[in-house]
Amino acid sequence: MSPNSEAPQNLPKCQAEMRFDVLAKAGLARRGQLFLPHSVVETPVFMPVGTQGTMKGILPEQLIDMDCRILLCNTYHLGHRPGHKKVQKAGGLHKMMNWPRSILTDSGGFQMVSLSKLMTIDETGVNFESPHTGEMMELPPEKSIEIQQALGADIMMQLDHVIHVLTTGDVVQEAMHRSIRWLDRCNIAHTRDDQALFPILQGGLNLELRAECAAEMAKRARVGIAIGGLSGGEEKSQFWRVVAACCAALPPHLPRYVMGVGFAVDLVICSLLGADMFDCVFPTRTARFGTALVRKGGQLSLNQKRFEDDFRPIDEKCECDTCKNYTRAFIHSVINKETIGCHLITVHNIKHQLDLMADVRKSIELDQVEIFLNNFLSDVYGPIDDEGSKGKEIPQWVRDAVNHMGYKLSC
Amino acid sequence: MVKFGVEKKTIFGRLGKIESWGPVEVQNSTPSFLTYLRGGHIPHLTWDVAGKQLELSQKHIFQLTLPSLVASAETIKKFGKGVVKFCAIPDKSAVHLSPFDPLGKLPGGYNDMKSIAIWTKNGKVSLDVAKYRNIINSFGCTSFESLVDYDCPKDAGSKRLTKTSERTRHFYEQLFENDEKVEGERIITIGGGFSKFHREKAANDLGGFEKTDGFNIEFHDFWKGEIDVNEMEELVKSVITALPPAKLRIISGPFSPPIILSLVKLGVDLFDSSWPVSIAEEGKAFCLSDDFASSLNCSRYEILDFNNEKFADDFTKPFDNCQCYTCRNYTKGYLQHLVNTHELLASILLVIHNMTEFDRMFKLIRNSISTSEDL
Repeated sequence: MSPNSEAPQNLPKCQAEMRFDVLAKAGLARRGQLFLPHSVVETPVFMPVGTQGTMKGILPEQLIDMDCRILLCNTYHLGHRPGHKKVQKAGGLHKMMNWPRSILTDSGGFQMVSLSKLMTIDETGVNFESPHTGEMMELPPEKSIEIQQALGADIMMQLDHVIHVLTTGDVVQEAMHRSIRWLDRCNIAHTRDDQALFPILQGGLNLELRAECAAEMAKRARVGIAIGGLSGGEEKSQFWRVVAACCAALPPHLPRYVMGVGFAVDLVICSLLGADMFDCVFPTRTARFGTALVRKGGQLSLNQKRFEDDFRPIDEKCECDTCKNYTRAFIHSVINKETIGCHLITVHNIKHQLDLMADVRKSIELDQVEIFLNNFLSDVYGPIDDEGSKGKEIPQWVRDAVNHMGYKLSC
Repeated sequence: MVKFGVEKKTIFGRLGKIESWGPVEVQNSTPSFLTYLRGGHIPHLTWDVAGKQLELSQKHIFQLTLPSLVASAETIKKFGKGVVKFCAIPDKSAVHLSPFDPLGKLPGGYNDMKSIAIWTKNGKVSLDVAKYRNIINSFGCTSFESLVDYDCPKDAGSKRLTKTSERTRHFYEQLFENDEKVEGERIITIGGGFSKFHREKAANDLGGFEKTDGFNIEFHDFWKGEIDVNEMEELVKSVITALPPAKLRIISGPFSPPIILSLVKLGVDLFDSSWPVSIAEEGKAFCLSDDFASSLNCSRYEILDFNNEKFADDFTKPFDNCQCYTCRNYTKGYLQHLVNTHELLASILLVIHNMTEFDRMFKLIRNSISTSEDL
């Protein structure tokens, strides 16, 4: 059956109907449901990234088999190729890529900052060099919204003034205030009521600026809100404190999306601090380099010779199609030779992330966060018997964050 | 054994039925094709995707090509459950082992008295009879092809041709000498390069062996570049007239629809699906003309090359009458975008369409034969 023929449930058609229900709470963490025009998203949620309008090497049906409800596409890439007008002509992103469930598009600003060699920002917007034509182009907030409305995702992101996370001084405050002004301009440009627009909190590592930004932006947010400017090389001890402070400063009715988070430990800690949504290219990108994510110890580089005759599945406990049918030895034998090597690991890694979030949600629902957290951390950092690995120390920042939440670790 | 019977002979070619391939019941009509595998998969499709999204009209008989797996031969032996399980190929499938990859390279000058060279992504592997027998037994395929000295270039003299045909015969006899256990049904490969005389001689020499289920006409010299159809037809004719008429005839290689049509006419029963895969990997989809195979000269087909920007703005169905997964769910413009951005999904979708159309081609060919007059 084609995924586009899926029967529509009672899904919202306008912003007023898009709502976030908190079903259960455990400590700071929330287990919720976000109702979007193309699906109900169970939170906390990890959103896999399909940069150019496809999850690399995976059919939409395979994502649906894994019960993935929402994915992210990149405005910067789609704006260049095929171009937002073409996507609009194709009937929007959902139709073009045969994906019936929800999509979130970013503003394009972050990629401009990270991918464009020549880039300047002024009050008008972001100016950048086109990677294809080489000419200088402008991206004011209005243009970002125009492009995102042509793409037609369920959630759009405001254009924000991105600065490097380690920047200090007045620039941080200026960028934060400019992001608020740009949010107002985005809100004016935003005319499609079947799309939500998320503001993006800025303020760097300064908790006071973050609180000020949260107060201003929460007033302007209708469906949800993002915490931006992190995952850019800051100390983990600062990262978790900013997430905790932002979550504490935001009202409960808005789902909180921490951008660019995809490592298992970060996902778990942020969820337990009260964040609800995450995205990262890491699980899918690392798959294409032959790395599979596992519960015990975190990762396996299946390129390594030690997997040549290893007839176990990637992860004994995983129920994905790859783990049910294939051995590490087989994947090792085709890696870098056949594209199916990438496909098989990508399927596993996405399922692994979705399963992890399902475990987080269950632990909140059952109010068993402390048990879950201890099991999870001992899997990631504990000894692995069959590999003779003695394990690693649980990092201090994890202990601090857990302490902040009021849980006890037995290891 | 491979249970095969010829049902009808016409100027279009012959119609046959494969009831079973070894112990696997298939009930496939011929002319038809072996499903080309590389790395134990239809290229770019995981078995999950192939099983759910690729719908063909007959059961698969898989062509398991060896070069992509030969480096794992020891691993597969240690695994102990056979290559089908190792590669997650669907259970109870008919799987035919071929030492060659029709989309790989096969340069001359590397065979010797004891072995032939096959080429992997990491270079040359010399395959001698003992090693090949080991692979046949540990892989446990339903059938296998005998080894052939394929190195007979156009300018080969009579001495060289005699030597290669002696080697081929020797490889075959050696495979079974001392009553060695060799698991699976036998398909004998007939070599001989560009020499009608040696082709015919090979067919006469090897055609009489017992326990042979069919013949594979080695044809790698025609895998690449322009094909001289007359030359090809003359060579195939010389082999086919010398082979026992009731046995199955296979030619492997990436042949386009008109070439396949002319080989069918000569009485070839089975091909492989390397051609639809190879054009998919170039970003192309094909579609047969409405009158394809309606007469002997109707062999036209259309190619859409999604590297071409003219499709970028075209969000219509790739081919109106095609019911494949790709044509049902995606547009030309999206395929152009995927090819243009080198996305992995491009090859997946194009392989699904091209395999479906390739399958339809054989259905059309069989229809034409069945409505033609008997010879």
